[in-house]
Amino acid sequence: VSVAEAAVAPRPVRRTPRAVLRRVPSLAWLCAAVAFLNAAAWSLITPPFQVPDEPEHVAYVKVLAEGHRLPSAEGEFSREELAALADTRLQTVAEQPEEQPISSRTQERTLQRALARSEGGFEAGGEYAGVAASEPPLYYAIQAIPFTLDGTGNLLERIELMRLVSALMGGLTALFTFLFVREVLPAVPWAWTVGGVGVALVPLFGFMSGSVNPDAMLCTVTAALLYSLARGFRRGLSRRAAIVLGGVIAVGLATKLNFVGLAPGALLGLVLLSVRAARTLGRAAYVSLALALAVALGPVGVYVVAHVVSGAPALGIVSDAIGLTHGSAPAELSYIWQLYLPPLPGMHPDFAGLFTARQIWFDWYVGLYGWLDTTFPGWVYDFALVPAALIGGLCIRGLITSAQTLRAHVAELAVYGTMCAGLMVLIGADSYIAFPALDAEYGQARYLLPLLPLLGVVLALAARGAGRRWGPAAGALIILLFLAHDGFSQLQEIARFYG
Amino acid sequence: VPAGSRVPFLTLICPREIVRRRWRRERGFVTDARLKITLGTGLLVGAIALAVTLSQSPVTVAGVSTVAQANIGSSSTTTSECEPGGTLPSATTGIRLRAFAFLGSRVAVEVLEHGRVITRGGRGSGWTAGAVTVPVRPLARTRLGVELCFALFVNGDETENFVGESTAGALAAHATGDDLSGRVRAEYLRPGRSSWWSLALSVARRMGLGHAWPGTWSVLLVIALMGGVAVLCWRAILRGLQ
Repeated sequence: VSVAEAAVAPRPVRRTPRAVLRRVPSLAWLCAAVAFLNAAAWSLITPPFQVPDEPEHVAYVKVLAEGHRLPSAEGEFSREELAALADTRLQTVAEQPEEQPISSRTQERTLQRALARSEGGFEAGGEYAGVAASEPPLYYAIQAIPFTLDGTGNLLERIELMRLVSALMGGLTALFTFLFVREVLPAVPWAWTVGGVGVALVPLFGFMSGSVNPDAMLCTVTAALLYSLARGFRRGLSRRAAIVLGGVIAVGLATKLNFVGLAPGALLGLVLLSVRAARTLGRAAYVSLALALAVALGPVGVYVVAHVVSGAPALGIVSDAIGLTHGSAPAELSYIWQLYLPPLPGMHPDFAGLFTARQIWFDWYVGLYGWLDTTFPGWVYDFALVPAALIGGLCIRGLITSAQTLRAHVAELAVYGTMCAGLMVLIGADSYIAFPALDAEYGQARYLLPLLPLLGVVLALAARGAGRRWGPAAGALIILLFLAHDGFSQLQEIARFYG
Repeated sequence: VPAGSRVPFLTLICPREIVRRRWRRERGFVTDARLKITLGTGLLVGAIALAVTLSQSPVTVAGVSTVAQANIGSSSTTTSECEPGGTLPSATTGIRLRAFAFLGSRVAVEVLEHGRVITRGGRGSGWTAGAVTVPVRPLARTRLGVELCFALFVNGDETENFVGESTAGALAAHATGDDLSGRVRAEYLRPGRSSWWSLALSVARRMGLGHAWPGTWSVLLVIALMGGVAVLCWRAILRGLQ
């Protein structure tokens, strides 16, 4: 290369983290701020441990941070956590809507004394983390940082700090949702805000992001994954993008087991993008695919090999759960179908008298907080059908007007569809383990929260479906509706715990 | 400035505002009048809804059928129970039955006086956790010696557990379906006398207990955080939706 050629050749762009952050639109940061502040408010409103499985998740962090080891599903909580659970009245309050947490200064003093008495480092025998013990450690390792930093604080203070870290993750989820909507609907810039802010204000999302629960990080990783996939489908798959995609999948697998349901769709997306890139890049595209797969599945491979070498089941504690499944495959498939949709002719009704799509998924999305014990009055769920139907109708109108564009994105839609179906099948299969003793153990809307970025697209499409003249007004109305839903949900939680 | 034309007040006191407005005009940023109307109307409706909600009274427990809270049995088939010798307080708007289910079945409740139904109610399936509240028609005066009957239309799959007092003989619930060993705890709910507004201070005090860094400051922080959320939403709408 001559000096003259070198002078005119485009200089490779250096992508420093600061440069990457600077390219994020200010409205995306605004969505992130809304989600963070909202989740922080939820974290202050919700009493400690009054989120499903929070005691177990806190115990996991405690064992990891203080004992530097993974927790166990057997045994009991540490002395410090037992004292906190007893004096915050968890056993009395959880799942009992007529019971409330402590309400007098005397009880508060007793709690503070008990916390001060039981404070201490790691105790042998206190490795119990119950249902959380089977989860991968990444989220807990991140939470170990605020847990360790607040060395002088009591357990409740550390929980609040951990909740704020979850809230930060909630902010990132909203940011990636905005960017995802921007990639999916590039022609309607004003609608991106509707998707991003709408998702940031979903009350169930605020409730979960304001707690110690790996669901908060799972939502962030899934939003980042959806954004990376959408970006790949718009701009092609470079080697860097492939490795980033692989990295996001690896982080997802190290965050929560539920990501296993999303992984097939993500891997399908990776393969489709590589096939498409091969048309222009040739074999180099498949090298990128191999690298991405190595990055994505490498940690899982190491995990499996380590277990096999040590003589344990290949998937560790997860193998036990796989062995618990029962019944015939058609019966299980029928159950999974009915967990979401009405039974087809010939199916044995597993949820007789119940319209699962409405009563489990819609109603519980509209309002079910605490240990599934905080609800709105019945009429609210009926009333909520009206705006939901309006948004659904507008979204369908938006889809019809862009039908031609949709046809050009069949492959991309198939990837998102596979991710949704994978997660739903996983939830159904897990619930089937406890069926029929429990109708739908994992039939909780919070398990579908990783799909929130798709809700963002639905909201943006709904605003777009209102037409060019009324679209922005409809978008504003959707945001106000979500803000009101969020505010009244917080009031309901306050009424339940402190009223 | 042409004579007689309207000059925004802000541009007179803030020269930067002139530059800002020109920049926005050149780039086609025009705040839609419909957007402003929607925002204004939405906020007004929201404020009215909030005021109305807080003007109402929280639900209070006016009476209970039994004080004890022990597990008295379970049912996995449709069950109907009748408990004699109860008291239905006046203005009862809901009856909360202590039954635990992960995915509760349809529930129907009737209160009888001398064999005649004086109020009834029902709620659909899909409730969860340790209690189910069934709305009923309120009565003007308290009724003594009533019989509380309820039916749970269990699907035959999941088991529902009942909490109450183990009793024997005439006081126990008479069941058709799975037998129970006592009376199910029923709580009679009615609106209290004070509004949420008047209870605001005591609620704020209680919110400060049982948390990290206890104190009422957390309530002020929640208000500030949600105020920030509202301001940012306003900003997002005005900046993003035009």
